[in-house]
Amino acid sequence: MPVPAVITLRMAVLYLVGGATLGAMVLTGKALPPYAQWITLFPLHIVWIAIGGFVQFTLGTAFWILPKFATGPSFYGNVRAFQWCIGALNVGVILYTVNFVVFQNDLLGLGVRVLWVIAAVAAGVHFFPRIKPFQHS
Amino acid sequence: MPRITRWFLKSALIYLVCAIGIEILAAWPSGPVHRIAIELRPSAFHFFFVGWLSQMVFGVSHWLFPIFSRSEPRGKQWLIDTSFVALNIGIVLRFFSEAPFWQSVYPGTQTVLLLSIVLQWVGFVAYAAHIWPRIKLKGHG
Repeated sequence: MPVPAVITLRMAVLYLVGGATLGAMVLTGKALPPYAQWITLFPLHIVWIAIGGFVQFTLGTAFWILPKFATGPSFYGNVRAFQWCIGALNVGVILYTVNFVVFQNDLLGLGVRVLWVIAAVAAGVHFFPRIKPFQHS
Repeated sequence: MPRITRWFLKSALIYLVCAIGIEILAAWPSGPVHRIAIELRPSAFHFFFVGWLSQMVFGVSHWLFPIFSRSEPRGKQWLIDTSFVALNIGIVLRFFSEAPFWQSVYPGTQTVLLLSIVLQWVGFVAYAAHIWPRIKLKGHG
């Protein structure tokens, strides 16, 4: 596996475990009334497991496994775009977490969404040229 | 395709069908079936995300990710087996304990729900421990 895929997939696995732990806390809040306040962790559980976990896992696997290029500065195409994608996605998840726990600021929440849009656009820039038949440059 | 991957993928498909089935019942015109299906929706949602999506990811990655070593190509088998068993028992127990109406069906739903929480969490952690050493640079380890 190339370095960007290893970093992305390991981040994803960490978020999956963190998201599952948050999910366990939310469900414990449902089961045990003294822990009912844990139910409020639900939005954080969704973001960690869906965006930090599964979206990131998919992106990392796609970077590793999609068709590569025979020529060019990198076999993997526009690696800088992929780095922007993963950077924006993870900074977004971290900012979402900080905002959720500490600030609850709407403007910061909007900033997080902008970061995720940047991540999605950068993913498109990186992956579109790699969605092609094998053995063609 | 390894045996445990086939189990992950086949059970994932079963959960997908069940999740869609409950959604259809929830869209049913009002009546007892509709009311029960509405209460089962959180569990059905997890049929979709844990039962289907997670198991698809776990099964396919176990099959396709780089080999761990020559002696143990796919890593510690007991970890991925534990993940499969814990996750599936956990999801089923959750289905039969999360909705409020179960409390009138049988006693001890709270204990069953707590057990399902532990099992689902163990399922995720066992998978993470299993796949972590297989996320590696080409030619390493």
